[in-house]
Amino acid sequence: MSVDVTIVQGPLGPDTRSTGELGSGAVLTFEGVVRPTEGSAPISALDYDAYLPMAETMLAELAQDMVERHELMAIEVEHSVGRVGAGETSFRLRVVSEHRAEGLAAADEFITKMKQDVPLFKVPVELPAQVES
Amino acid sequence: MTYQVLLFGAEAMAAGTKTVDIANDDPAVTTADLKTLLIEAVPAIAGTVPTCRVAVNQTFVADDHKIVATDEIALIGMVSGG
Repeated sequence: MSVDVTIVQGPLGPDTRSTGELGSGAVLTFEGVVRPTEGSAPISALDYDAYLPMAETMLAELAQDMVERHELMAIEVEHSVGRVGAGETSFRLRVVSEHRAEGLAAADEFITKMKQDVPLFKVPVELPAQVES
Repeated sequence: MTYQVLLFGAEAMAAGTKTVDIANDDPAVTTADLKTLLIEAVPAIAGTVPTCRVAVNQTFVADDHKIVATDEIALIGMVSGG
């Protein structure tokens, strides 16, 4: 059972970890991507802020709780701070488990609790005003 | 004594700073008192401070928690990871 939490400056790169641990039957990867709108307003990016190291500690504790309660084999969390453009990835969760049911449940619970409590913040970056010619 | 409060995200942007120093003679203040002092110091965040949580030494605390000036104090607005 392993837990890995990484905070990355700027957008996340491509996922290069596609294989599961020995004995795993399910590898779930969720990626959060910055939408081009906030509400109905178009945006160019999100500026992510974090209260470090409290955010890292809480992500690790939450991940460890998921491992223990859902009997996961591994969980890896990557989250951005700083500016992430629309269409770019700001969050990646990788859950490795023996069967899909516990992996799906853990992934959903982790994301829900992260959004409730972990001190990560985002501020939308509005598109520059269009100048009519 | 000076209570230093860390700000993040929308509150930091509205305040134009990531730290606010609050001078106060009391050796300890409650979380609720601190929020009142913060609003007086930075009216620009008055609209959101009441719904913010406060973390002291990187742990969320209740409104009646006693804070001292040497604590690490953080105002935690709406969190939105992901």
